[in-house]
Amino acid sequence: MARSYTTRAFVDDKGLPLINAWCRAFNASTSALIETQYTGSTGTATFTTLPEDVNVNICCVWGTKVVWLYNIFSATQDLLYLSVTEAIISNLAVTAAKIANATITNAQIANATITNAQIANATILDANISTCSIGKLTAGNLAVTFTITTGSLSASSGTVTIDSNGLTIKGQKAIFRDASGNVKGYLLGIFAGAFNLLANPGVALVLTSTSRVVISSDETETQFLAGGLNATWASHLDLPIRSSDPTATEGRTYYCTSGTANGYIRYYDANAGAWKNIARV
Amino acid sequence: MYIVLNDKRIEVTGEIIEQQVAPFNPQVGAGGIEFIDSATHQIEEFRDFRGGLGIETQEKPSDRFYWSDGTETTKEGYLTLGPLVTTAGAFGVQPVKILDFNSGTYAFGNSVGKKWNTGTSAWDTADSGALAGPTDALVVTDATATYLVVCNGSDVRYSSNGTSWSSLSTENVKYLTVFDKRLIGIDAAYKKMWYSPREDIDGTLSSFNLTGDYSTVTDLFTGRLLTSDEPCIYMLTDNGLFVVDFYTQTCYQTDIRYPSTTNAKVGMFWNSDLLVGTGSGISRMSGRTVTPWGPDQNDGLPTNYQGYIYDMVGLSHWAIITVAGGTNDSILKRHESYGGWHQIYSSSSAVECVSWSPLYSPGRLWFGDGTNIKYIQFPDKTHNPTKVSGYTYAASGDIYLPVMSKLSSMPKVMVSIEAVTKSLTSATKVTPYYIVNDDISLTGADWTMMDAWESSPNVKSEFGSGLGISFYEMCIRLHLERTSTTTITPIIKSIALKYLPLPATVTSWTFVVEALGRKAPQIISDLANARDASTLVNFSPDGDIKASEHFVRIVTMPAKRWLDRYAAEKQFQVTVSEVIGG
Repeated sequence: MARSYTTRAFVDDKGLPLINAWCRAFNASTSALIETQYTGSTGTATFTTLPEDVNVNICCVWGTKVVWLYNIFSATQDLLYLSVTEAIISNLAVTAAKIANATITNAQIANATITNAQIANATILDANISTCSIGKLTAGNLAVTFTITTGSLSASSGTVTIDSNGLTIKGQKAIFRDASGNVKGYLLGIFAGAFNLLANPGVALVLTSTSRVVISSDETETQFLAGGLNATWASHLDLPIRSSDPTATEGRTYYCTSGTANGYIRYYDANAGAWKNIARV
Repeated sequence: MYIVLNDKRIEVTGEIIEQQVAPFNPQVGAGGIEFIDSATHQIEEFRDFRGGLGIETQEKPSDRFYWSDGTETTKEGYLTLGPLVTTAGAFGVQPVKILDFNSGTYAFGNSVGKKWNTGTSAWDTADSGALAGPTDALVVTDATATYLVVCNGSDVRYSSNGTSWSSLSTENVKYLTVFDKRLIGIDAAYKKMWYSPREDIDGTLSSFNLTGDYSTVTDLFTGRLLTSDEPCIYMLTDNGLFVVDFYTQTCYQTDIRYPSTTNAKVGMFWNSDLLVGTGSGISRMSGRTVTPWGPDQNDGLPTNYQGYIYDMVGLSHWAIITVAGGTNDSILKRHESYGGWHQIYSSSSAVECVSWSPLYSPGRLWFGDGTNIKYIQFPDKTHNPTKVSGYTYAASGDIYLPVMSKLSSMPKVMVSIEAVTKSLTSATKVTPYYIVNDDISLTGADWTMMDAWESSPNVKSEFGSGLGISFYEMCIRLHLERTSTTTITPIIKSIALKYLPLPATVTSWTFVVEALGRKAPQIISDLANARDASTLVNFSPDGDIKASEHFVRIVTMPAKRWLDRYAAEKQFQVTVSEVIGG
C-alpha cells in the first residue's frame, strides 16, 4: 500500500511560495527515484505513491537552489534497524508500533503509554518498567514473572481474574489436561447450582491424604450415585453411632448406644416396616 | 642711434643684429630615436583600428576611426577589404528570423517558412502553412526530440523535422525562450507567461499572470542573475529590463532602465554579460555595473547610419548587432573584451535580423536585407580573414580616419601620406582622399583624390605636388578596391601623415646699450623695468614706434647687481625677441 506525503511550503528569500519547483522522492537506502512532483500554488508538493517499507528522502530543486527533506516519515516510520545502547525516554507515546527486530540492551522507560503494540518476537532480558499500561498485549511466547500488589489480571471480560485475593472464576471453568494436552477433567465451578469437580470418563477421581479425608455437608446425606462403596483396603469401617433410630429409610444402618438396643447394630427392614437388631454372635 | 623699448628712447651703439627664430624646435630624445625626433617634420601614424568607429576628430593618435564601409578594421596593422556580401536567392518577404535547425538553415517571414537548399542555392518552402507576421522562433530540445518553434502572437507552430508542421498552441504567444527545461512564452498582451510541462516542450501550456510597471514587451531571453548566479528569465520592456522569477511567478525591474521606448528591441545574456539594446545604444551589465556599450558612444554613427538596435547575436568572442530603422541599416561587430564597434555591412534596405551559422565552412553570417537574405563568410576559427583559405572580400571599401586636429589653431603643412602595404597591385589598390579644414563627409564629391597606391611595401602620395598643403585640420579617407577576383584584397599595415607645423616667424634683436655719464642710472632703471614688466613691451629698432613697433620680451641683459656696480659708465648687450610671429 502506498503512502502519501505533502512537503512543507517552499518559499524564496522574500517568503513567496515557489511554484513549479522540481521535487523528487528517493529511496533513502538505494537512492532510486520513486516519484516526481512539482510544487503547486502554495509552494507544497504532494507525493501519492511512496512505498511503506522504505525510508524516503525528498529533493526539491529550483534554479540553483536545492533543499533536501531527509527521512520524511521519521515521525511514523518503521524502525528497520534500531540498535539502542542506552535510551532514556521520559515520555513516549507510540500510537502504532511494529518492531520487526529490536534489540534493546538497556532501556529505561519512565512513562510509556503503548495503546496498541504488536511484538512478534521480543526478548526483553532485563526490563524495569515502573509503570506500564498495556491496552492490548498479544504475545506469542511471553515468559513473565511478576507479583501483583494492586490491580488484577483478568480474562474473558473479567469472568476470570487473578488479584491479590486469589483466582476468581465467574461462570467459567478450570480445565485440566494430561501431558499430551487431552482434557481429563474440569473444575467446573458452579454448575446447575452445585460446585462441581469433574473427572472425564475413564479418569479416576482420587482424594488422597495421609491424614483424614473429610466430607462434610449440612445436607442430611452424602450420596454415592453409582457403583459400590469399596472399603476392601481399609482397616475398618466405622458405622454411624446414634442413641436412637433416625428417620426410617430402607437399608439405613447404625450402631445404637442406648435403650434396649444398646450395643446392637440396627437396620430398618422396609418389608417388616420396623427397625431390627443384628443379633450378636 | 636710438631704439624705443617699453616707450623709453634709449641710445645704442654699433649695429643692431636682427635674426629670425624658428618657433618649432627639433627634438632629440635621450633614448632611442622616435618619430617625433624627426628634425624636418612630424608624423601622425594610423596602424591599429581595433578601438573601433565613432571618433570624428582627435588631437592625439588613437586606435579609433570615424566610420568605415566595407573594410576589415579588427586586426592591428592589417587593414583589408571587408567580407564579400552574397545574396542568397530571393526570399520574397522581409525575414524576421534566420536560424539553424536539423543541419539546415531556416528563415521565417510573413507567411513564409523556408529552408536554404545548399544544392540549388535557393530557398525552398519548408512550411506551407507558415504563420503570418512571425515574431519569434527558436530551436529547443527535450527528452523526445529537437523542435523548431515559431510564434506570431496568436499561434505557436512547431516541427521536429522541418517538413511536418503542426500547431503547438493557440495561446497568443509572442516571444519565446527556454527555462527550467520548459518552453516559455509571453503572450501578445504582455500579461501572461506561458510554460510547457518540464521536459515536455510540446505538452499543453500552462500560464501565470504578470504584474509590473511596463506596457510592452519586446524580447524574452534567459540568463542568470549577475548578483546571485540564479538562472532567470529576462524580459525586455518599454520601461527597462525586467526579471521574471519563474518560481514565484513575479517580475521585477533590473538596473537597466531607460526612458519609455519601444525601440529597446533586443537583449541577450552573453559571455557573463548582459547586453541590452536600449534604442540607439546598448547597456552592458557586468556584475552590478551597467556601462554604455553601444555604437552611439563618443561621436556615434554618421547621420545616415543611425538607428536602433534591432537584433543581436553572440559568437564565441564577437557580439554582432543590426542597427536599423534609419536611412541606412548596418551590421556591426564588437569584440567582447577589446576595442569598439566595427562595420560589417550597410544597406539602404532593412537589415533587421542576423544569425550566425556554423554549418558552413567558413562560418556564415546570415542577415536580412530588404526582402532578400544575404550572407558573408564569418570565420569561427580566426578573426583574421587573410588566414582563411578561400575567404572572399568585398569589391571595395572605405575607411574614414578621424579628423587630424592636433594644435588645430597652428598653421601646418601636410607634406605627404605614406603607407606600408602588402599585396598592392593594379588589381588591389588603395586610393587616399582628403578634405582640408572641414568636417568629414560621406559624400564622395567632397573629397580630393590623390594618386592611387598599387605597390608594396611602401607607397607615398605627396600633397600639392610636393609643395604640401597648408591646413589646420585634415580629413583622410582611404578607398580600398579589388578587381573581379573575390579572394584578393589590398592590405594596409600602417599609414603615416607627414606634416610640418608652420607658425609665423619670430624675430629677435640684439643691440649694445650705452649707459654713460649721469644718464646711466636712468637707462639701467628703464631696462630693468622693461625686463620685469608683466606684459610684453613695445620695441622699435628704428627708434620710432610710428615707424616700426614690435611686442617683445627682453631675452638677455646683465643682472641688476652687475649693472648697479658699474652704473657710472658701461656698455652692455641686450637681446629682445618677439613671442609670436605675425
